[in-house]
Amino acid sequence: MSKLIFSCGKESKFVQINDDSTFQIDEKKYYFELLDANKDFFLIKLNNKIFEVFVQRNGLNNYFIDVNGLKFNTELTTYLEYRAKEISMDSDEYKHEIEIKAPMPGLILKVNKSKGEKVKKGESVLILEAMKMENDLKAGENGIVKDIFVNEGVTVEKGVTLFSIVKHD
Amino acid sequence: MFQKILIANRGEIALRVIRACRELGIKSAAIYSEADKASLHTRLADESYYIGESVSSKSYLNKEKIIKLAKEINADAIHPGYGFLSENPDFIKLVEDSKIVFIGPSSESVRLMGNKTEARKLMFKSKVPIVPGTTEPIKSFEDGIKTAREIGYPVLLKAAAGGGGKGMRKVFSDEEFRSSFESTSREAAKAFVDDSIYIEKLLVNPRHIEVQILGDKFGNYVHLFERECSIQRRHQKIIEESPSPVISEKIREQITSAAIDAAKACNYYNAGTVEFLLDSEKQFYFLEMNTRLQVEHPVTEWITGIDLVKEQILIASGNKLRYKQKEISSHGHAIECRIYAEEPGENFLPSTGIILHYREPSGNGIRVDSGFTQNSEISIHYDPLISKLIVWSDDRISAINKMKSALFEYRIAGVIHNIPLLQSIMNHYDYEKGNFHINFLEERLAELSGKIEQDKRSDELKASATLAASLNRNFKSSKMNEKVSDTFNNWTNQLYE
Repeated sequence: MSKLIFSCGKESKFVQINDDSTFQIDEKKYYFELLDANKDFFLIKLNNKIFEVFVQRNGLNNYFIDVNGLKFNTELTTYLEYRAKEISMDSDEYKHEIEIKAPMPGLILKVNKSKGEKVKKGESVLILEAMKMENDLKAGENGIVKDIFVNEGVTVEKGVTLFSIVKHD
Repeated sequence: MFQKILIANRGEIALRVIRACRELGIKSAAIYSEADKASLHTRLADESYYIGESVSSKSYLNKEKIIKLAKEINADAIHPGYGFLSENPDFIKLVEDSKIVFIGPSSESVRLMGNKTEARKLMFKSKVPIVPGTTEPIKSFEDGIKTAREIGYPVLLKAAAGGGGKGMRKVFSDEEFRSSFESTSREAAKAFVDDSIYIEKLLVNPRHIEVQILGDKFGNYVHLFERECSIQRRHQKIIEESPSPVISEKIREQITSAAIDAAKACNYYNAGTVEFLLDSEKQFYFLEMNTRLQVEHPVTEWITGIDLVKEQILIASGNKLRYKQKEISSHGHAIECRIYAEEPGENFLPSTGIILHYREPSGNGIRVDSGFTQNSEISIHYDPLISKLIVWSDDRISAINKMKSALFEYRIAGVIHNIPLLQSIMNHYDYEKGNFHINFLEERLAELSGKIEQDKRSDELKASATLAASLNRNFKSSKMNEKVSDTFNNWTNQLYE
């Protein structure tokens, strides 16, 4: 099996499964035993401890992992994919534009800003109502609203891009 | 005694009532919405009836339909659980007029206590201490801002018809007043159909202490001691315990007798809870009365040995209270953690999805009241409470240790939940010392989340996560649903392409 790159937050490491009982993360070698497995559940023995690991694959490369109740949002890519992303991240536009996605399904109750408007970090851009609660979606950075993709009164699914902000101090 | 009780609720509380019915030999009838057709409560009730579409207004909030159904199936009583129609005086009045017994207080008591400004007026008259502020709803934005200045910032804007933490906002300055006023009215109108709001002085870091009471239809009252519910987020409790670690015998006497005075003032019967705020000077103030069964009632059940839902049913059927005050005592220490599908790191936004794996903790002194099981869906339509984990032990510290152990055992995969945060709180020095208030969680969130991140830095944990992701990526699609446990000898060949 070829090497893959495992990214979690800012950390990226090479991972390679060598055989039935060993794998490697960067230079470090681990001995393991796979006690049970199906598509989204793996029972792994490492250093005489047993870990219950749940894996939900989200799209091509994103994995949502739950180990003993702790959650990891991760990405697993081939080296080529990883490099391609690095290169695109270096381009200016990518670096400065932030897209805000719906954290959960709900109703767009109010849009407080319009396209082209200046926003300060922490200012409310729109209000998403879900489960009878109003959730203020705020600008994460000082900047300009580049685009708003939704209107008041619209119902959105989780993960839909709501608005984008171009960083500007 | 009743023959059949219709349960106008869903989730863990519907199950709680079903169990009490079964123990008392009463038939239980569940109702369910489209989204709940496979839910646990429909499976465990004696009878289950479809009530309407997933959205609450067409199902669990549809008063007329629920009452019509109750008549058709010859239910002689309705248990409302908590939330939904439990504190809706119009619904209760309709039930009363249909000659069906409502398992709870009278519509009049609920109307009196449901309007927060009316309740404040009544408490003031009955010499139950109230938080400084208005006893009338504010008429306009201008009127409000003037009052806020008089009371002095910070103030709290609250929906007069509110409860359950919804329709409530802290305001620290004139500048914030307008937008807070607007969104509070909007939320109030949406959640309670009544947009009137009032202003209270915001007490600095008080504790939330509440008293459980029971009253019968003959004017007899008892209290079942206090519950400490200061660990909250979005004004909603997530951890409750009894006894409170800071209440002295003297204050316990005062606060429980104030609670009974509050209940008497509105001619209350059935189970109810009087909520108070306790300031750092150990002064307590009436906050509101919850005229229903509380989410956290198991904590009280455990320290007193009294089954509150059974008592509710017995009182509603016309029995006198079975206990005198002196026969009720408190033993040991109980703690409840509410397990929510939500993301503490994202401002506690509710999380939705299918529960892929579910395993409850068990053992001596552990109780789980859950409404879900494997493959259940946490849907956008309802409250994201998955379950309640309650533990009991001889004293507070051993109860905390038991809770830590139970949380460690609890596995819920597929939806994001707050178990790691609850663990982090249980391990916090100030929680252990009983040194906290209603803003504790909000103020310490960064510190508590930091502790979770630290736990995640374990090398073995990360290594097993990495390995599992790699294994999943290479899982052969044809083998997707097949267990591989019997092919271990050469599993790499089975798994990989």
